[in-house]
Amino acid sequence: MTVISIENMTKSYGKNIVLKNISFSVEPGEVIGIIGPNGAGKTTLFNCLLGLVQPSTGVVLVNGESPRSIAVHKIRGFLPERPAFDTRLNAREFLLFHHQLAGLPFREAKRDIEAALDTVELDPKTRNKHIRKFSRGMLQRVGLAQVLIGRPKICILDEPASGLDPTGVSMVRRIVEKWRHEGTTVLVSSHHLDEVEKTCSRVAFLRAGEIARFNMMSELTLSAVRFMIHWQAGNFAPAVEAVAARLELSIEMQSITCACFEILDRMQVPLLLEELLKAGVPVEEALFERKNLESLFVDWVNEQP
Amino acid sequence: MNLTILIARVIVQWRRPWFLFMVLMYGVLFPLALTLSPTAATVKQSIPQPYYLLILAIYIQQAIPTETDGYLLLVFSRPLTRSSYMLSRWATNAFSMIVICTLSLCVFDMVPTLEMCPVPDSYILWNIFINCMEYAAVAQFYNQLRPFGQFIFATALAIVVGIGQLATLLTTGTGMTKVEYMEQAASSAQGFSSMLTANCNTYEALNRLNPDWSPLVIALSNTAIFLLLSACVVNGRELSYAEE
Repeated sequence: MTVISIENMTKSYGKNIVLKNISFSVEPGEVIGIIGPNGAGKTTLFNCLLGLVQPSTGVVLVNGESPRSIAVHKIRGFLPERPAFDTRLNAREFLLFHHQLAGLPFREAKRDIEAALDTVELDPKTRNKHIRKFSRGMLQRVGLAQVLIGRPKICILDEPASGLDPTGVSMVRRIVEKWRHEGTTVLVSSHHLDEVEKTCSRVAFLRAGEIARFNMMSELTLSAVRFMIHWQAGNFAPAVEAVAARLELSIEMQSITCACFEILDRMQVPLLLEELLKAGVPVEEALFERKNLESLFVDWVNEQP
Repeated sequence: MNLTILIARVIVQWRRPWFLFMVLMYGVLFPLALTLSPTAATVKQSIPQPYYLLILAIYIQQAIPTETDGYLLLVFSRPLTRSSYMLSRWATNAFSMIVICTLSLCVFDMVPTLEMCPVPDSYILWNIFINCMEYAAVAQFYNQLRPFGQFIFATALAIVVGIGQLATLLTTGTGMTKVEYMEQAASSAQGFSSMLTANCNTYEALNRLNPDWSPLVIALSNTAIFLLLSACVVNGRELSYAEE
Protein backbone atom coordinates (compact mmCIF):
# COMPACT_ATOMS: atom_id res chain seq x y z
CA MET A 1 0.00 0.00 0.00
CA THR A 2 1.27 3.46 -0.90
CA VAL A 3 2.00 5.53 2.20
CA ILE A 4 2.07 8.94 0.55
CA SER A 5 0.34 9.75 -2.69
CA ILE A 6 0.35 13.16 -4.34
CA GLU A 7 -1.42 13.70 -7.65
CA ASN A 8 -1.24 16.88 -9.73
CA MET A 9 -0.89 19.06 -6.69
CA THR A 10 -0.54 22.78 -7.20
CA LYS A 11 -0.30 25.41 -4.52
CA SER A 12 -0.54 29.08 -5.30
CA TYR A 13 -0.85 32.25 -3.25
CA GLY A 14 -2.67 34.67 -5.53
CA LYS A 15 -0.67 34.81 -8.75
CA ASN A 16 2.41 33.32 -7.13
CA ILE A 17 2.52 29.60 -7.96
CA VAL A 18 4.65 27.92 -5.32
CA LEU A 19 4.16 24.28 -6.35
CA LYS A 20 3.26 23.14 -9.86
CA ASN A 21 1.77 19.76 -10.80
CA ILE A 22 3.54 17.75 -8.15
CA SER A 23 2.91 14.01 -8.47
CA PHE A 24 4.71 11.19 -6.71
CA SER A 25 4.09 8.31 -4.38
CA VAL A 26 6.09 6.80 -1.55
CA GLU A 27 6.08 3.15 -0.56
CA PRO A 28 6.37 1.94 3.06
CA GLY A 29 9.89 1.96 4.44
CA GLU A 30 11.32 4.27 1.80
CA VAL A 31 13.64 7.11 2.80
CA ILE A 32 13.08 10.00 0.41
CA GLY A 33 15.34 13.02 0.21
CA ILE A 34 13.77 16.26 -0.92
CA ILE A 35 16.44 18.64 -2.12
CA GLY A 36 16.44 21.89 -4.00
CA PRO A 37 17.71 25.45 -3.86
CA ASN A 38 16.26 27.92 -1.38
CA GLY A 39 12.72 28.95 -2.28
CA ALA A 40 12.15 25.86 -4.44
CA GLY A 41 8.99 24.93 -2.50
CA LYS A 42 10.28 22.16 -0.19
CA THR A 43 8.69 23.61 2.93
CA THR A 44 5.38 24.25 1.17
CA LEU A 45 5.41 20.64 -0.02
CA PHE A 46 5.88 19.51 3.58
CA ASN A 47 3.16 21.90 4.73
CA CYS A 48 0.77 20.23 2.28
CA LEU A 49 1.78 16.76 3.48
CA LEU A 50 1.18 17.85 7.06
CA GLY A 51 -2.22 19.33 6.26
CA LEU A 52 -1.06 22.74 7.45
CA VAL A 53 -1.90 24.32 4.10
CA GLN A 54 -4.55 23.26 1.66
CA PRO A 55 -3.38 22.55 -1.91
CA SER A 56 -5.00 24.78 -4.54
CA THR A 57 -5.59 21.79 -6.81
CA GLY A 58 -4.77 18.10 -6.75
CA VAL A 59 -5.01 15.34 -4.18
CA VAL A 60 -2.73 14.57 -1.23
CA LEU A 61 -3.27 11.32 0.65
CA VAL A 62 -1.29 9.98 3.58
CA ASN A 63 -2.00 6.34 4.31
CA GLY A 64 -5.07 6.71 2.11
CA GLU A 65 -6.52 9.54 4.19
CA SER A 66 -6.48 13.32 4.31
CA PRO A 67 -3.27 14.68 5.90
CA ARG A 68 -5.46 16.47 8.48
CA SER A 69 -7.17 13.34 9.77
CA ILE A 70 -6.50 12.32 13.37
CA ALA A 71 -5.60 8.79 12.26
CA VAL A 72 -2.75 10.21 10.17
CA HIS A 73 -1.59 12.44 13.03
CA LYS A 74 -1.23 9.32 15.20
CA ILE A 75 1.30 7.69 12.89
CA ARG A 76 3.17 10.76 11.65
CA GLY A 77 6.09 12.52 13.29
CA PHE A 78 7.34 15.91 12.25
CA LEU A 79 10.37 18.05 12.89
CA PRO A 80 10.13 21.60 11.52
CA GLU A 81 13.15 23.53 10.36
CA ARG A 82 12.84 25.94 13.26
CA PRO A 83 10.81 24.29 16.02
CA ALA A 84 9.35 26.67 18.61
CA PHE A 85 9.06 25.47 22.19
CA ASP A 86 7.41 26.44 25.45
CA THR A 87 10.61 27.88 26.81
CA ARG A 88 9.43 27.68 30.43
CA LEU A 89 9.40 23.89 30.24
CA ASN A 90 12.46 21.74 30.58
CA ALA A 91 13.36 19.03 28.06
CA ARG A 92 11.69 16.24 30.06
CA GLU A 93 8.50 18.26 30.61
CA PHE A 94 8.34 19.22 26.95
CA LEU A 95 8.62 15.58 25.92
CA LEU A 96 6.06 14.54 28.55
CA PHE A 97 3.71 17.12 27.02
CA HIS A 98 4.16 15.57 23.57
CA HIS A 99 3.99 12.05 24.98
CA GLN A 100 0.57 12.82 26.42
CA LEU A 101 -0.56 14.66 23.29
CA ALA A 102 0.36 11.54 21.32
CA GLY A 103 -2.07 9.64 23.53
CA LEU A 104 0.54 7.23 24.87
CA PRO A 105 0.12 5.62 28.33
CA PHE A 106 1.40 7.81 31.15
CA ARG A 107 3.10 4.86 32.90
CA GLU A 108 5.40 4.48 29.87
CA ALA A 109 6.26 8.17 29.73
CA LYS A 110 9.43 8.16 31.83
CA ARG A 111 10.92 5.19 29.97
CA ASP A 112 10.04 6.61 26.53
CA ILE A 113 11.34 10.09 27.34
CA GLU A 114 14.67 8.86 28.69
CA ALA A 115 15.08 6.53 25.70
CA ALA A 116 14.40 9.40 23.27
CA LEU A 117 16.80 11.74 25.09
CA ASP A 118 19.47 9.02 25.11
CA THR A 119 18.98 8.45 21.38
CA VAL A 120 19.49 12.13 20.57
CA GLU A 121 22.44 12.19 22.98
CA LEU A 122 21.25 15.15 25.02
CA ASP A 123 23.56 15.69 27.96
CA PRO A 124 21.82 14.29 31.10
CA LYS A 125 22.87 17.42 33.04
CA THR A 126 20.78 19.64 30.75
CA ARG A 127 17.60 17.56 30.73
CA ASN A 128 16.05 19.40 33.67
CA LYS A 129 17.08 22.86 32.47
CA HIS A 130 14.58 25.28 30.98
CA ILE A 131 14.56 25.06 27.18
CA ARG A 132 15.17 28.82 26.92
CA LYS A 133 18.73 28.18 28.10
CA PHE A 134 19.40 25.70 25.28
CA SER A 135 21.73 26.30 22.35
CA ARG A 136 20.56 25.89 18.74
CA GLY A 137 21.99 22.38 18.54
CA MET A 138 20.40 21.33 21.84
CA LEU A 139 17.03 22.63 20.64
CA GLN A 140 17.38 20.58 17.49
CA ARG A 141 18.12 17.47 19.57
CA VAL A 142 15.00 18.10 21.69
CA GLY A 143 12.99 18.56 18.49
CA LEU A 144 14.26 15.23 17.18
CA ALA A 145 13.46 13.55 20.50
CA GLN A 146 9.93 14.90 20.12
CA VAL A 147 9.63 13.06 16.79
CA LEU A 148 10.85 9.83 18.42
CA ILE A 149 8.31 10.13 21.23
CA GLY A 150 5.31 9.50 19.03
CA ARG A 151 6.69 6.16 17.67
CA PRO A 152 5.80 7.35 14.17
CA LYS A 153 5.38 5.21 11.09
CA ILE A 154 5.91 8.22 8.82
CA CYS A 155 8.52 10.86 9.63
CA ILE A 156 8.81 14.23 7.98
CA LEU A 157 12.04 16.00 8.83
CA ASP A 158 12.86 19.47 7.61
CA GLU A 159 16.56 20.17 7.95
CA PRO A 160 17.07 17.72 10.83
CA ALA A 161 20.82 18.35 10.98
CA SER A 162 20.51 22.12 11.03
CA GLY A 163 22.60 23.66 13.81
CA LEU A 164 24.10 20.33 14.85
CA ASP A 165 27.80 19.63 15.27
CA PRO A 166 29.40 16.74 13.29
CA THR A 167 28.57 14.21 16.03
CA GLY A 168 24.98 15.44 15.92
CA VAL A 169 24.86 15.06 12.14
CA SER A 170 26.00 11.45 12.38
CA MET A 171 23.47 10.89 15.18
CA VAL A 172 20.70 12.04 12.80
CA ARG A 173 22.03 9.61 10.18
CA ARG A 174 21.93 6.76 12.70
CA ILE A 175 18.35 7.59 13.65
CA VAL A 176 17.23 7.68 10.01
CA GLU A 177 19.01 4.39 9.31
CA LYS A 178 17.34 2.83 12.35
CA TRP A 179 13.97 4.00 11.05
CA ARG A 180 14.73 2.50 7.66
CA HIS A 181 15.54 -0.87 9.22
CA GLU A 182 12.30 -0.70 11.21
CA GLY A 183 10.29 0.01 8.05
CA THR A 184 9.43 3.62 8.92
CA THR A 185 8.82 5.87 5.95
CA VAL A 186 10.96 9.01 6.07
CA LEU A 187 10.85 12.21 4.06
CA VAL A 188 13.82 14.40 4.74
CA SER A 189 14.76 17.79 3.41
CA SER A 190 18.35 18.73 3.94
CA HIS A 191 21.20 20.80 2.60
CA HIS A 192 23.64 18.24 4.05
CA LEU A 193 23.74 16.46 0.69
CA ASP A 194 26.35 13.93 1.75
CA GLU A 195 23.95 12.79 4.50
CA VAL A 196 21.08 12.60 1.99
CA GLU A 197 23.31 10.52 -0.26
CA LYS A 198 24.17 8.14 2.56
CA THR A 199 20.69 7.65 3.95
CA CYS A 200 18.08 8.12 1.20
CA SER A 201 16.87 5.49 -1.22
CA ARG A 202 15.33 8.05 -3.58
CA VAL A 203 15.85 11.73 -4.08
CA ALA A 204 13.52 14.38 -5.46
CA PHE A 205 15.04 17.56 -6.80
CA LEU A 206 12.69 20.53 -6.59
CA ARG A 207 13.29 23.61 -8.69
CA ALA A 208 10.93 26.60 -8.92
CA GLY A 209 8.04 24.59 -7.50
CA GLU A 210 8.43 21.62 -9.84
CA ILE A 211 9.96 18.21 -9.38
CA ALA A 212 12.77 18.42 -11.93
CA ARG A 213 14.12 14.95 -11.07
CA PHE A 214 12.99 12.03 -8.95
CA ASN A 215 15.47 9.15 -9.07
CA MET A 216 16.75 6.22 -7.13
CA MET A 217 19.96 7.26 -5.44
CA SER A 218 21.83 4.31 -6.98
CA GLU A 219 20.75 5.39 -10.50
CA LEU A 220 22.00 8.89 -9.92
CA THR A 221 25.41 8.11 -8.57
CA LEU A 222 26.12 5.30 -11.04
CA SER A 223 24.99 7.18 -14.12
CA ALA A 224 26.94 10.30 -13.35
CA VAL A 225 30.60 9.53 -13.96
CA ARG A 226 33.62 11.75 -14.33
CA PHE A 227 36.92 10.80 -15.90
CA MET A 228 39.94 12.47 -14.42
CA ILE A 229 43.32 12.56 -16.13
CA HIS A 230 46.56 13.87 -14.69
CA TRP A 231 49.75 14.87 -16.47
CA GLN A 232 53.02 16.61 -15.68
CA ALA A 233 52.79 20.35 -15.45
CA GLY A 234 52.76 22.06 -18.79
CA ASN A 235 50.56 24.06 -21.08
CA PHE A 236 48.38 21.32 -22.52
CA ALA A 237 45.10 23.15 -22.16
CA PRO A 238 44.67 23.93 -25.90
CA ALA A 239 45.33 20.29 -26.82
CA VAL A 240 42.96 18.95 -24.16
CA GLU A 241 40.23 21.39 -25.24
CA ALA A 242 40.68 20.44 -28.88
CA VAL A 243 40.29 16.72 -28.06
CA ALA A 244 37.21 17.41 -25.95
CA ALA A 245 35.66 19.45 -28.76
CA ARG A 246 36.41 16.73 -31.30
CA LEU A 247 34.82 14.00 -29.16
CA GLU A 248 31.97 16.32 -28.04
CA LEU A 249 32.82 15.92 -24.36
CA SER A 250 32.50 18.62 -21.77
CA ILE A 251 35.35 19.53 -19.45
CA GLU A 252 34.13 20.04 -15.92
CA MET A 253 37.35 21.28 -14.46
CA GLN A 254 40.82 21.94 -15.76
CA SER A 255 44.10 23.01 -14.19
CA ILE A 256 47.77 23.04 -15.12
CA THR A 257 48.16 19.34 -14.19
CA CYS A 258 44.75 17.77 -14.66
CA ALA A 259 41.40 17.84 -16.41
CA CYS A 260 38.06 16.31 -15.57
CA PHE A 261 35.71 15.15 -18.32
CA GLU A 262 32.02 14.38 -17.97
CA ILE A 263 31.46 10.91 -19.40
CA LEU A 264 28.00 9.75 -20.41
CA ASP A 265 29.17 6.57 -22.13
CA ARG A 266 32.10 4.61 -20.71
CA MET A 267 32.94 3.34 -24.20
CA GLN A 268 34.23 6.83 -24.98
CA VAL A 269 37.11 6.46 -22.52
CA PRO A 270 39.58 4.41 -24.63
CA LEU A 271 39.04 6.75 -27.54
CA LEU A 272 39.58 9.77 -25.32
CA LEU A 273 42.84 8.39 -23.97
CA GLU A 274 44.03 7.55 -27.48
CA GLU A 275 43.22 11.03 -28.76
CA LEU A 276 44.92 12.70 -25.78
CA LEU A 277 48.11 10.71 -26.31
CA LYS A 278 47.99 11.46 -30.03
CA ALA A 279 47.68 15.16 -29.18
CA GLY A 280 50.87 14.92 -27.13
CA VAL A 281 49.35 15.11 -23.66
CA PRO A 282 51.68 13.09 -21.34
CA VAL A 283 48.96 11.27 -19.35
CA GLU A 284 50.35 9.93 -16.07
CA GLU A 285 47.19 8.81 -14.35
CA ALA A 286 43.58 8.28 -15.41
CA LEU A 287 40.69 7.32 -13.16
CA PHE A 288 36.91 7.22 -12.97
CA GLU A 289 35.17 9.27 -10.34
CA ARG A 290 31.48 8.93 -9.49
CA LYS A 291 29.77 12.25 -9.12
CA ASN A 292 28.48 12.87 -5.65
CA LEU A 293 25.07 14.38 -4.95
CA GLU A 294 26.57 17.76 -4.22
CA SER A 295 28.08 18.08 -7.69
CA LEU A 296 24.88 16.74 -9.25
CA PHE A 297 22.94 19.32 -7.26
CA VAL A 298 25.14 22.12 -8.61
CA ASP A 299 24.67 20.78 -12.16
CA TRP A 300 20.89 20.62 -11.74
CA VAL A 301 20.68 24.11 -10.29
CA ASN A 302 22.66 25.46 -13.26
CA GLU A 303 20.57 23.52 -15.80
CA GLN A 304 18.07 25.53 -17.81
CA PRO A 305 14.51 24.53 -16.86
CA MET B 1 -11.10 19.88 25.36
CA ASN B 2 -7.64 18.41 25.83
CA LEU B 3 -6.49 17.99 29.43
CA THR B 4 -2.79 17.79 28.51
CA ILE B 5 -2.91 21.16 26.77
CA LEU B 6 -4.85 22.65 29.67
CA ILE B 7 -2.40 21.48 32.35
CA ALA B 8 0.66 22.43 30.29
CA ARG B 9 -0.73 25.91 29.56
CA VAL B 10 -1.50 26.51 33.24
CA ILE B 11 2.03 25.45 34.24
CA VAL B 12 3.64 27.63 31.57
CA GLN B 13 1.38 30.59 32.40
CA TRP B 14 2.03 30.48 36.13
CA ARG B 15 5.78 30.18 35.64
CA ARG B 16 6.01 33.47 33.81
CA PRO B 17 7.16 36.35 36.04
CA TRP B 18 4.97 38.77 34.06
CA PHE B 19 1.91 36.70 34.76
CA LEU B 20 2.72 36.50 38.47
CA PHE B 21 3.23 40.25 38.48
CA MET B 22 -0.20 40.62 36.88
CA VAL B 23 -1.77 38.36 39.50
CA LEU B 24 -0.16 40.44 42.21
CA MET B 25 -1.25 43.72 40.60
CA TYR B 26 -4.82 42.87 39.62
CA GLY B 27 -5.51 40.26 42.25
CA VAL B 28 -3.99 41.89 45.34
CA LEU B 29 -2.55 45.41 45.08
CA PHE B 30 -5.23 46.98 42.92
CA PRO B 31 -8.15 45.66 45.03
CA LEU B 32 -6.26 46.57 48.21
CA ALA B 33 -6.07 50.19 47.00
CA LEU B 34 -9.75 50.13 46.12
CA THR B 35 -10.73 49.03 49.63
CA LEU B 36 -9.62 52.46 50.81
CA SER B 37 -12.17 54.12 48.56
CA PRO B 38 -15.42 55.36 50.20
CA THR B 39 -17.40 53.36 47.62
CA ALA B 40 -15.47 50.16 48.24
CA ALA B 41 -18.63 48.15 48.98
CA THR B 42 -20.05 49.08 45.55
CA VAL B 43 -16.73 48.23 43.90
CA LYS B 44 -16.70 44.85 45.61
CA GLN B 45 -20.13 43.85 44.37
CA SER B 46 -19.11 44.63 40.79
CA ILE B 47 -15.73 42.93 40.82
CA PRO B 48 -16.02 41.50 37.30
CA GLN B 49 -16.02 44.97 35.66
CA PRO B 50 -16.60 44.58 31.89
CA TYR B 51 -13.76 46.58 30.34
CA TYR B 52 -11.36 45.70 33.11
CA LEU B 53 -12.08 42.04 32.47
CA LEU B 54 -11.68 42.42 28.72
CA ILE B 55 -8.30 44.08 29.15
CA LEU B 56 -7.31 41.39 31.64
CA ALA B 57 -8.40 38.63 29.26
CA ILE B 58 -6.54 40.05 26.27
CA TYR B 59 -3.49 40.74 28.39
CA ILE B 60 -3.44 37.17 29.71
CA GLN B 61 -3.64 35.89 26.14
CA GLN B 62 -0.85 38.14 24.96
CA ALA B 63 1.33 37.43 28.00
CA ILE B 64 2.27 34.04 26.53
CA PRO B 65 4.42 34.67 23.47
CA THR B 66 4.79 31.04 22.41
CA GLU B 67 1.73 30.97 20.18
CA THR B 68 3.77 31.24 17.00
CA ASP B 69 3.08 29.16 13.92
CA GLY B 70 6.28 27.21 14.71
CA TYR B 71 4.82 26.23 18.08
CA LEU B 72 1.33 25.52 16.78
CA LEU B 73 2.42 23.22 14.02
CA LEU B 74 4.34 21.04 16.50
CA VAL B 75 1.15 20.78 18.54
CA PHE B 76 -1.10 20.32 15.50
CA SER B 77 1.11 17.51 14.21
CA ARG B 78 -0.20 15.54 17.21
CA PRO B 79 -3.52 13.70 17.21
CA LEU B 80 -5.78 16.45 18.47
CA THR B 81 -8.25 18.70 16.68
CA ARG B 82 -7.58 22.38 16.37
CA SER B 83 -10.91 23.12 18.03
CA SER B 84 -10.00 21.11 21.12
CA TYR B 85 -6.70 23.01 21.32
CA MET B 86 -8.58 26.29 21.09
CA LEU B 87 -11.08 25.22 23.77
CA SER B 88 -8.25 24.15 26.08
CA ARG B 89 -6.57 27.52 25.71
CA TRP B 90 -9.83 29.27 26.44
CA ALA B 91 -10.35 27.14 29.58
CA THR B 92 -6.80 27.93 30.76
CA ASN B 93 -7.32 31.65 30.36
CA ALA B 94 -10.79 31.58 31.94
CA PHE B 95 -9.27 29.66 34.88
CA SER B 96 -6.50 32.25 35.34
CA MET B 97 -8.99 35.11 35.20
CA ILE B 98 -11.26 33.39 37.74
CA VAL B 99 -8.29 32.94 40.08
CA ILE B 100 -7.32 36.62 39.79
CA CYS B 101 -10.88 37.86 40.35
CA THR B 102 -11.45 35.45 43.26
CA LEU B 103 -8.21 36.63 44.80
CA SER B 104 -9.40 40.23 44.60
CA LEU B 105 -12.71 39.18 46.23
CA CYS B 106 -10.71 37.63 49.08
CA VAL B 107 -8.80 40.89 49.49
CA PHE B 108 -12.08 42.81 49.80
CA ASP B 109 -13.37 40.22 52.26
CA MET B 110 -10.37 40.73 54.50
CA VAL B 111 -11.40 44.36 55.12
CA PRO B 112 -13.92 44.30 58.01
CA THR B 113 -15.56 47.62 57.10
CA LEU B 114 -16.91 46.09 53.90
CA GLU B 115 -19.12 43.61 55.69
CA MET B 116 -22.09 45.80 54.82
CA CYS B 117 -21.88 44.89 51.14
CA PRO B 118 -25.44 43.87 50.22
CA VAL B 119 -24.44 41.26 47.64
CA PRO B 120 -23.49 37.87 49.09
CA ASP B 121 -20.15 36.42 48.02
CA SER B 122 -21.85 33.44 46.40
CA TYR B 123 -23.47 35.76 43.82
CA ILE B 124 -20.20 37.60 43.23
CA LEU B 125 -18.46 34.27 42.67
CA TRP B 126 -21.10 33.29 40.13
CA ASN B 127 -20.62 36.67 38.41
CA ILE B 128 -16.87 36.08 38.32
CA PHE B 129 -17.28 32.58 36.92
CA ILE B 130 -19.77 33.49 34.18
CA ASN B 131 -18.14 36.76 33.13
CA CYS B 132 -14.62 35.35 33.09
CA MET B 133 -15.72 32.55 30.80
CA GLU B 134 -17.37 35.08 28.51
CA TYR B 135 -14.49 37.53 28.35
CA ALA B 136 -11.97 34.75 27.92
CA ALA B 137 -13.98 33.69 24.87
CA VAL B 138 -13.92 37.25 23.45
CA ALA B 139 -10.16 37.41 24.05
CA GLN B 140 -9.74 33.99 22.50
CA PHE B 141 -11.39 35.23 19.33
CA TYR B 142 -9.25 38.37 19.39
CA ASN B 143 -6.12 36.25 19.80
CA GLN B 144 -6.99 34.00 16.86
CA LEU B 145 -7.01 36.99 14.52
CA ARG B 146 -3.86 37.96 12.69
CA PRO B 147 -2.23 41.27 13.79
CA PHE B 148 -4.21 43.16 11.14
CA GLY B 149 -7.45 41.60 12.35
CA GLN B 150 -6.54 42.40 15.94
CA PHE B 151 -5.93 46.01 14.96
CA ILE B 152 -9.35 46.22 13.25
CA PHE B 153 -11.04 44.56 16.23
CA ALA B 154 -9.34 46.83 18.79
CA THR B 155 -10.02 49.95 16.69
CA ALA B 156 -13.69 49.06 16.22
CA LEU B 157 -14.04 48.45 19.96
CA ALA B 158 -12.29 51.73 20.80
CA ILE B 159 -14.53 53.67 18.37
CA VAL B 160 -17.69 52.08 19.74
CA VAL B 161 -16.70 52.69 23.34
CA GLY B 162 -15.51 56.20 22.46
CA ILE B 163 -18.78 57.11 20.71
CA GLY B 164 -20.75 55.70 23.63
CA GLN B 165 -18.77 57.69 26.16
CA LEU B 166 -18.85 60.88 24.09
CA ALA B 167 -22.55 60.60 23.43
CA THR B 168 -23.27 59.96 27.09
CA LEU B 169 -21.17 62.98 28.05
CA LEU B 170 -22.84 65.30 25.55
CA THR B 171 -26.37 64.20 26.29
CA THR B 172 -26.03 64.34 30.07
CA GLY B 173 -23.74 67.23 30.79
CA THR B 174 -24.37 69.90 28.17
CA GLY B 175 -28.10 70.25 27.89
CA MET B 176 -28.14 68.53 24.51
CA THR B 177 -30.68 66.00 25.67
CA LYS B 178 -33.01 67.00 22.85
CA VAL B 179 -30.53 65.98 20.20
CA GLU B 180 -32.14 62.80 19.08
CA TYR B 181 -29.33 61.45 16.90
CA MET B 182 -26.89 61.70 19.76
CA GLU B 183 -29.14 59.60 21.94
CA GLN B 184 -29.49 57.11 19.13
CA ALA B 185 -25.73 57.01 18.67
CA ALA B 186 -25.24 56.43 22.38
CA SER B 187 -27.82 53.73 22.50
CA SER B 188 -26.57 51.89 19.41
CA ALA B 189 -22.93 52.18 20.52
CA GLN B 190 -23.80 50.80 23.94
CA GLY B 191 -25.85 48.07 22.32
CA PHE B 192 -22.98 47.05 20.08
CA SER B 193 -20.39 47.17 22.82
CA SER B 194 -22.68 45.22 25.14
CA MET B 195 -22.58 42.45 22.58
CA LEU B 196 -18.84 42.16 23.24
CA THR B 197 -18.89 43.03 26.88
CA ALA B 198 -22.28 42.03 28.24
CA ASN B 199 -21.90 41.98 32.00
CA CYS B 200 -23.92 39.34 33.77
CA ASN B 201 -24.97 40.37 37.29
CA THR B 202 -26.64 37.32 38.80
CA TYR B 203 -27.65 39.17 41.96
CA GLU B 204 -29.64 41.82 40.08
CA ALA B 205 -31.08 39.30 37.65
CA LEU B 206 -32.02 36.43 39.89
CA ASN B 207 -32.47 37.82 43.40
CA ARG B 208 -36.05 39.03 42.87
CA LEU B 209 -39.55 37.71 42.68
CA ASN B 210 -39.52 37.18 38.93
CA PRO B 211 -35.97 36.16 38.04
CA ASP B 212 -34.69 37.61 34.78
CA TRP B 213 -32.63 34.96 33.04
CA SER B 214 -31.76 37.08 30.02
CA PRO B 215 -28.31 38.34 31.27
CA LEU B 216 -27.29 34.76 31.93
CA VAL B 217 -28.51 33.63 28.51
CA ILE B 218 -26.74 36.56 26.81
CA ALA B 219 -23.47 35.78 28.60
CA LEU B 220 -23.62 32.10 27.71
CA SER B 221 -24.64 32.75 24.10
CA ASN B 222 -21.82 35.33 23.78
CA THR B 223 -19.38 32.72 25.09
CA ALA B 224 -20.67 30.14 22.61
CA ILE B 225 -20.65 32.56 19.65
CA PHE B 226 -17.09 33.76 20.25
CA LEU B 227 -15.82 30.21 20.77
CA LEU B 228 -17.54 29.15 17.56
CA LEU B 229 -16.00 32.08 15.68
CA SER B 230 -12.58 31.22 17.13
CA ALA B 231 -12.99 27.59 16.05
CA CYS B 232 -13.85 28.75 12.51
CA VAL B 233 -10.78 31.00 12.40
CA VAL B 234 -8.37 28.41 13.82
CA ASN B 235 -9.66 25.65 11.53
CA GLY B 236 -9.42 27.81 8.44
CA ARG B 237 -5.96 29.10 9.28
CA GLU B 238 -3.08 28.02 7.08
CA LEU B 239 0.05 27.55 9.11
CA SER B 240 3.39 27.92 7.50
CA TYR B 241 6.62 27.97 9.43
CA ALA B 242 8.36 29.19 6.31
CA GLU B 243 6.72 32.58 6.76
CA GLU B 244 8.18 33.21 10.21
